[in-house]
Amino acid sequence: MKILYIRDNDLYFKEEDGKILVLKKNKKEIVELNEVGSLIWKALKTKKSIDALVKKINSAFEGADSKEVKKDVEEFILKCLKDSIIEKIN
Amino acid sequence: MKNSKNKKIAINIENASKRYFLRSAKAKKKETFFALKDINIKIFKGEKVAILGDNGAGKTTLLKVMTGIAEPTCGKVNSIGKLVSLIDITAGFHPEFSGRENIYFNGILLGMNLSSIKKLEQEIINFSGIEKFIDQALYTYSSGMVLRLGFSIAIHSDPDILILDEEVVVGDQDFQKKAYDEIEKIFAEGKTIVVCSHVLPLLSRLCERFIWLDKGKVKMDGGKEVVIEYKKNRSKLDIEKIGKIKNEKKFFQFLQSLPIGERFIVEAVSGSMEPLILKGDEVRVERCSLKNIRVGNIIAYWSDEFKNIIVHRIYKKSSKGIFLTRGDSNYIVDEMPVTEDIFLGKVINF
Repeated sequence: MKILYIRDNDLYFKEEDGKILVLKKNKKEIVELNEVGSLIWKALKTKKSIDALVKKINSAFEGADSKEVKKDVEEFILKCLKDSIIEKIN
Repeated sequence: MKNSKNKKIAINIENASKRYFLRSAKAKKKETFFALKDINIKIFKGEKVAILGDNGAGKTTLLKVMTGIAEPTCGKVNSIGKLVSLIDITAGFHPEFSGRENIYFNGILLGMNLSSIKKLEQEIINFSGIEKFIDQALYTYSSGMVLRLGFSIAIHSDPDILILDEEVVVGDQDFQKKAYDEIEKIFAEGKTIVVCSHVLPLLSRLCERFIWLDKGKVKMDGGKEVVIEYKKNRSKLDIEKIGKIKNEKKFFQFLQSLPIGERFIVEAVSGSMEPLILKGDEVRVERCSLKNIRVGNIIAYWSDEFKNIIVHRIYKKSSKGIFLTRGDSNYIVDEMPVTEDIFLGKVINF
């Protein structure tokens, strides 16, 4: 079965200069996402698979190497899971 | 760029540089940073130019210098014709005026005359999609609504030169589509346009000249071959950066944007006698309005001097605002005024 991911939609976040800042659940850490991370965050408003995220980035940044992008997205998702700002849905 | 001798110049940038000073509290010295270095660009009437470059390459600074929002530190910048920039479309708005009054206020600042604003008023309102709220004061608008109104006025102001930044196309998907359609219409009208965007497919379709900026310098200037080179160069995307709370003003501003009643925790960075807070203590703060603060309350606020969030007790209220003492035993300052712009919230765990 395909693994899907969704952001924690209860968290407070704000976009500043194209970068998204998220207040973590513990209310004492702010996570700053870079430009591409912010794009993923926006996409994860609804559940998405890694492949769908890769596709989204490829369409926004034409010319990017798909293999590299997939690796980067996987790493990014792992970090977000560790920071508990996104959830995994089986 | 071909046959440039016969073309009229719209924007001329000669040997322009823009220098900023970076101040660091730790280093206690200022560093020099060149956002633009020795830029020479001639943009001709009717040209559609796209500025490419990674974050921090100097794109927005270049646009700001073109529009006159920022002065170059050295060099010359001239533009001929009515120039409208969609870099900061909310600039030139008054928060206490209604949306409708702001159409007139902002329209005049953009060089429109009263009769043309009157004629276009309804069109501007319809385009912005905020008809219901148009007679409400601007401060009651969400930031998205202000941007939509700003975009609508700018797009209707009939500029000779239009300067667009990447973040201008705002709002929901319907509005974005409307905005892009309108930008495309302007592209078709033969006006001079300078855009700066990461949306490469859109740009390569609409523009004919591309200027690639890298670390404040022009790396390449030409036709579609610039886009091809640029794409090759940025095939590796940096996705992984995740930062934590730091003592930065941007994080303070983020916390300040939290809704009233929202709570968060800040960590004490130095000891304080009044109230007794030790280094490393967790301080719980609740967002509230400064109007609800009374003498005796402990509050959190931003200190530009210490580049940090400071926690202190209010000891006196004056007609000018709220004042507090700084109870640090080795750094005694009589009074420190706290105003809305630096106020964060009420401390709730004391």
